[in-house]
Amino acid sequence: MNRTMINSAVSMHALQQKLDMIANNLANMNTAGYKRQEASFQDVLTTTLNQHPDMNQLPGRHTSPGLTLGNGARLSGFRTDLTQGALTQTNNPLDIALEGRAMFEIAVPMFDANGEPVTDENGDILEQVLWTRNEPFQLSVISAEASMLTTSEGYPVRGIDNQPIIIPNNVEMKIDAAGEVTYIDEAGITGYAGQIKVMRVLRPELLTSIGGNLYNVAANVADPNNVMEEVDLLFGDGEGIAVRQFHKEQSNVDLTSEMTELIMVQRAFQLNSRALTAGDTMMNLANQLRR
Amino acid sequence: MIRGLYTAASGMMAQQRTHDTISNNIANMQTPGFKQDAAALRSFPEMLIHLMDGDGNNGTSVKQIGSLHTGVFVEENFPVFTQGDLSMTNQPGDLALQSNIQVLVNGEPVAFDATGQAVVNGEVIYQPQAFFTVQGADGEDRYTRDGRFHLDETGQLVNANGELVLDIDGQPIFVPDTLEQVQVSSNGVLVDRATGGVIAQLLISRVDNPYNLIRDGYGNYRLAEGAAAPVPIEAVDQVVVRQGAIERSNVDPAQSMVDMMTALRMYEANQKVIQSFDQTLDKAVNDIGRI
Repeated sequence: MNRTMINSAVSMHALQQKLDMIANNLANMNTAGYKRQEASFQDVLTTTLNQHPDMNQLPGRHTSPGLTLGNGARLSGFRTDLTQGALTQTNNPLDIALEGRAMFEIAVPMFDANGEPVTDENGDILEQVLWTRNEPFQLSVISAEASMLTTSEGYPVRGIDNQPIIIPNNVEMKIDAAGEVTYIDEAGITGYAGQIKVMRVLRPELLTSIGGNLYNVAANVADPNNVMEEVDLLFGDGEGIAVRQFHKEQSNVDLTSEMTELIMVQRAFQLNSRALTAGDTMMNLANQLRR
Repeated sequence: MIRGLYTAASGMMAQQRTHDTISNNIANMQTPGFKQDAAALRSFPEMLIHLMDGDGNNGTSVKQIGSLHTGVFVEENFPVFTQGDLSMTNQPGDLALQSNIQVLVNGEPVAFDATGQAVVNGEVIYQPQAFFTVQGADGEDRYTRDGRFHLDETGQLVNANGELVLDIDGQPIFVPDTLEQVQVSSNGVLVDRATGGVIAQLLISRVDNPYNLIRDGYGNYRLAEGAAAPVPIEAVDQVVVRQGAIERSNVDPAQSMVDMMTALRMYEANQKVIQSFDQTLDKAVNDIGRI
């Protein structure tokens, strides 16, 4: 069989995936809090063809007996590049950015395949814990008196007690660098609403992006605590990690490096397609042996 | 029988194998740590042609005509271990090896050619190469130049396949905190940035005859049976570990393209030879004896 065509087809598939990934990074260049994805290539399983015993140890040969043949390349080593994006100042009190390799924890209600909520034996909806760096947050009104701090999708942002952060309506909200939420109401009285839970990322390779700037641990992780670690910023945990209100984190996609990657991938794709064409020409020549 | 028909067929097969090798190189143009393969062609063992029974002496040889090869085959695909370019990624887990190990003969360094070989006093000397050492799934050591490492769930340093990276004692490397906290010195020692304490030293293996390595796929090589075991590198070996960089594939796209065109045209030339023999046979079968 013509291995050339298999090699080229396999690696063109991998290059296509990489191209998609670059396109996704570029599309999210202006998404607040977006972290670029990256991946690299790996050569695929090598087969060793046996050779005739008289032919495999002739004088002048360098390698051990057998003819090793590769099978192309595949995409491997997916990871999220958690490099800090630039922080820009805003006037929105709900623009809450994170500095350092950390994420906010949010609770997302679980739904089964039919779109029905998953409940426990008490009838309460089960929640899945996910992480995000997405801002702006918003205040979702839960009653006439109070609102809850949520993401723009409406998922509650968790405090250090794993409960949502509830703030009275019509107050001025303040969040300090440690994530403590305070407010000043119309009468000028200061109140305390809780502390936002901040999780430090220990193993960025074991996080998977599930879209909407949300992250979950990879499927093969037994204990999420090995991937994310809670830090209490009040007690000096988490060096270099801080919560910044009135700030927006820009995406960490660098246009120049993405474009360079794009060019290289495109050229590699082109070269592989030329190899495929050459393989096709060879098959055509073989077919024309008998005129 | 027409001998050349089979000679040309073996030429077509050998060129196809060569083309497969080149297309695999092209497929791995973007694979970190990949070393391109070179296909070595060899002619079939030569045979001596005699004129038989020239004057009716009952099948005895009367005259030597000369020696003849009856075809060609791809004897081996050997990796070319030239240094690949380093490309910066600024990821703490990305390590690249830069190696230019010198061999002294009679106190003089040997000048190696582009494929890492030199002939000194009629003896072939290969340039030794340095590799990261990882533990394969079967427990045997594997050697790789693909230094994209990360931490697994329990904090052990692993490569993109999840295989354990080994330290100088052949043990897995356990990093207590995150990889951001680890600084890798140029001699492969992992140091905690905060405390300055040594975590481990990477086992960088020096393989004296790199052609004893068999490509295993997924970036790895294994040692051929019976080959001399690699030794850890020493300070005089001039092997440098660079953190935050990867070694790019050493495939030369322009050279690969030229080689591919050559292989294709040689294939075509052999095909034309077969067609020409076919015409000869056509004449012999259909035209001779026609009145």
